[in-house]
Amino acid sequence: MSRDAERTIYSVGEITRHIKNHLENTFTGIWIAGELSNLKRPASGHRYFTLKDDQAQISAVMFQSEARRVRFRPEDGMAVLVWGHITVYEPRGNYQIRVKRIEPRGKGELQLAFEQLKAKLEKEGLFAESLKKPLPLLPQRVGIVTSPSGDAVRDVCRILHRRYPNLEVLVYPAKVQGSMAAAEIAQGVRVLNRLGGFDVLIVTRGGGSLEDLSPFNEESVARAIATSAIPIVSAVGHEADFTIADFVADRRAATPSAAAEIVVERKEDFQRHVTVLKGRLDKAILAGRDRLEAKVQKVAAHQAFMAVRHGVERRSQQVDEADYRIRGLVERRLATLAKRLDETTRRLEAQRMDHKLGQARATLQALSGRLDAAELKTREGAHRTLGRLGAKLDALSPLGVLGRGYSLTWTAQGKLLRRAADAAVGDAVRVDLDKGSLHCRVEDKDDERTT
Amino acid sequence: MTSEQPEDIKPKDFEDALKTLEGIVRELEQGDLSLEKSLARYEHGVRLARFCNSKLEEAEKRIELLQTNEDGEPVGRKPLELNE
Repeated sequence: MSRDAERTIYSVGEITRHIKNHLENTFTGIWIAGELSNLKRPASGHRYFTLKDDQAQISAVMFQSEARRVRFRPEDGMAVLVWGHITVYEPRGNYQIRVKRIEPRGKGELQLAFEQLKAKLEKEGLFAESLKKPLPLLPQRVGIVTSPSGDAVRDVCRILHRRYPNLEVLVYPAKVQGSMAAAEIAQGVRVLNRLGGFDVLIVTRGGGSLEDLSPFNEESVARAIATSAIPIVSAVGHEADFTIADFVADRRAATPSAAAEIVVERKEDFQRHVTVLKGRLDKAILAGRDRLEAKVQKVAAHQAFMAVRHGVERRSQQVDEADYRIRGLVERRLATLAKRLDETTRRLEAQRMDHKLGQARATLQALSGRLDAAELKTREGAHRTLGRLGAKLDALSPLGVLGRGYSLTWTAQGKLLRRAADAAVGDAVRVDLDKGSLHCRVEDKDDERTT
Repeated sequence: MTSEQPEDIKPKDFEDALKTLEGIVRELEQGDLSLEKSLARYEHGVRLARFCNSKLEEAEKRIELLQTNEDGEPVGRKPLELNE
């Protein structure tokens, strides 16, 4: 500082130093509200941005050591509250605020961090339905990542064992709140994957504040769950609490107890299901016996009874033919009779012999009555014959095949034997009779006989 | 359901066995299989039902706590006591 008559003259450096001292002493530890803009994130990890409102703007810097502790991701346009000190950069004559803390305005920091991570992972596709692994129907080994002293582990284990008494459970002990929790939960998921042999994992903790549940909103936990080869059910907090872990997990359960219920069905339900299926199996094979025996006809079709069958069919055809012939005969005789009647009538009319007409009418009636009776008798006879032949056909039906002494012969491989050529001397065969089976060995054979 | 030799088919697990069993029941209920196939399916079905029941009894009740070192690595196991 120098004096020139009445004037006090500063050098640029001097005044800048004064300004610096003044500003830095006056504006220390202050809160500023504004909108973030022009945010830069160089590789150094420092953050440079401008805070502004509708009247002014101020440059801001946040150094890496503080920036890495920010849980949400600051973005241009965001309304924020910063805390820090004003500093002056002498070489450029600039002032700026050196930001030590930054908070989103409106929403809490945790809420914003949650929404941002959720949006980021969603964009990466970590919540995609196609990534969800199906849960096993019947898990036999279940891994749980949780605090071994919490309510959650007790609830889960109690329900698992109530539903399925013989079940193996291994608990990986992890803190579920506090700064170490996220790392331990993620580690638990990785360790249980490495140990292997688990059908399903449950990642869980009981209810708590948003802060308490926050480890389950950490990216490290989300990544560990997403890369798990074992299906994971997450159950964090109460029904209304949704965490990032819930979105990444293969299934979300509303509560720890619900997780246990999702993981294993009641053993009795399984047993009942299997019993019902076995019942249906038996019923199907019994109810299908008629159909099956119709198949026997095909399988066991043999020329011996094919011949009989053909005979029966031929005779049945003969009956049909006889029936036709009888009908033709009756019709022709009726026609002849009608012709004779016409002639007689004409003759009678010509001779005007009314009494003879009456006689002729009586004769005609008698004749026609006899004809009717004859026709009836012939038809009844034909039907009787048909009935008899039908009964014979029934007796030959494959339904009765086994009952009549035919048998089915099976190879040791369970193949039905149709030809002697398909079995070798010395082969063991099973012969199914109408009742019971014979276990036989082929002593000798004749490939040629066909009837 | 491709082989005619059901003896060769070992179910992968309970779920696999149950699914196959359900398929066999449906197939038999439709009733348009040959005798040989029906009997083979039936026998296979009976074996699957037996397998399912045995699986339901297979696991052994055990609740354990993994013991870990300061790096979170497993060092042992002990039964977990749950004070109800």
